[in-house]
Amino acid sequence: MAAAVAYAGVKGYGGLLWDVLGRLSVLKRDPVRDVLVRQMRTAGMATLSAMVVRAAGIGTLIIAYTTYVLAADSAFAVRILIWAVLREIGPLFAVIMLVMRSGTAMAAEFALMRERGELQALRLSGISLLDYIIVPTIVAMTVSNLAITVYFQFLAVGGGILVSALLMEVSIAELVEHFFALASVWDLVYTVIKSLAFGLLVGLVICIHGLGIGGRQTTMPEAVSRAVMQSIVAVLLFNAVFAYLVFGVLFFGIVKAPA
Amino acid sequence: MKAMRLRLTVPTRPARDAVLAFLTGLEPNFSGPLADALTELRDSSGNNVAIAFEDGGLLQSLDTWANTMLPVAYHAAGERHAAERRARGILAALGRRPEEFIGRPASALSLYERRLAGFVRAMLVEPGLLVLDRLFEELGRDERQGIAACIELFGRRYPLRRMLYLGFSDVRLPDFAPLVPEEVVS
Repeated sequence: MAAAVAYAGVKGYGGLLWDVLGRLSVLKRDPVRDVLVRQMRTAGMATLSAMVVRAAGIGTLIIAYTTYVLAADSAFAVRILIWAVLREIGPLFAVIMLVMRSGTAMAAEFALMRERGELQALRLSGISLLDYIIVPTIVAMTVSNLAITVYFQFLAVGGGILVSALLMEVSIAELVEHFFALASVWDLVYTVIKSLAFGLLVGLVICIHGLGIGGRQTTMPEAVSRAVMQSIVAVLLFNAVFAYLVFGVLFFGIVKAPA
Repeated sequence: MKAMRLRLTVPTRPARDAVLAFLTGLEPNFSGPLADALTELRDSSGNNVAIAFEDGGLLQSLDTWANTMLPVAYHAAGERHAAERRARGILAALGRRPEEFIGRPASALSLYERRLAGFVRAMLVEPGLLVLDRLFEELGRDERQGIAACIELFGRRYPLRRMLYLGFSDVRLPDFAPLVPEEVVS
């Protein structure tokens, strides 16, 4: 039974994603583009403004921990920074900030629109919810999450390098040199794919629960709660599966891909 | 059924929703004694139906002017400026100014103003059938006269297009002929 429900859920998300991909051309229309810009402003600006101190703090913490607890040298500290911030914590932290700051607001707004009858008025006016709300929201969440992730990584790596230079008595130039020697294009590709997928997943979950698609007609608080929980679960699941596909390990290396 | 102005008393909100969904094509089928009359009404409009909603049908995330322009901007890309000129003309004919709508949040409007904005919005798409959703109900005398002026304006500009007044209670509308005999609906 649970498997059937899970399958129906995945099928619902897959179907919606397919519909969105088929309707991307509606972004050319002025009112839809206006919604896209508004959602990007909501998703991007609200999250970015909350991120500066947190991002720099996380980079600093990683470096401080590596330096003092693990007694690492500068190259190892930078390596940890790349592994942790670029590959894992960066995209995860960014998407969690996105869900908390903007996802909740969007899910609440959609649920309120549903309760006020605005969605029905749109449909009766011949305006497709898919075109007018879902497509721009999902595109906005996807693009914004990439921007937020890059911003977070820049601040965290920058903050980390700056603090390491102070703690370890090495020059910033040396740390930057280590960084560029150890970081690869693959790290960039990995993080871009992950952050785009995270944003896409969050957008899908928020639209489905906020708008009450597929018969999920819940109250506003319930819609927000479900949107947040399922967004985080979806992101963590994707993260685990993606890590398994790329690195051959799952659950921090407990499960390994066959050789 | 030749009358241009028709009225229909719907007993409940779900019945009203079902009628609107059928007329706008969201629901392809309609069962019951009204089916033939509604089908004829929808088909004769060329499936070009607009609704002046009881609450205006406005989005609170947009200002009133953007709400007014939304359907026409969405459906007819590139005609935004022409539509804006038409909207200004309609408001002028009703003795209103666009400045009353521009930059004003929909949530700040009175019920009458919301209905007025919704009426202008519906009129802008130049529908073959304009559905008037309880527009006279819960308004004062002066406001009802304002709505009557809107209806007259639509009738003057589009004399060959139909209007259907939907109401929960049997409002006195002498200019509106019943869509079907009253005993059929009750």
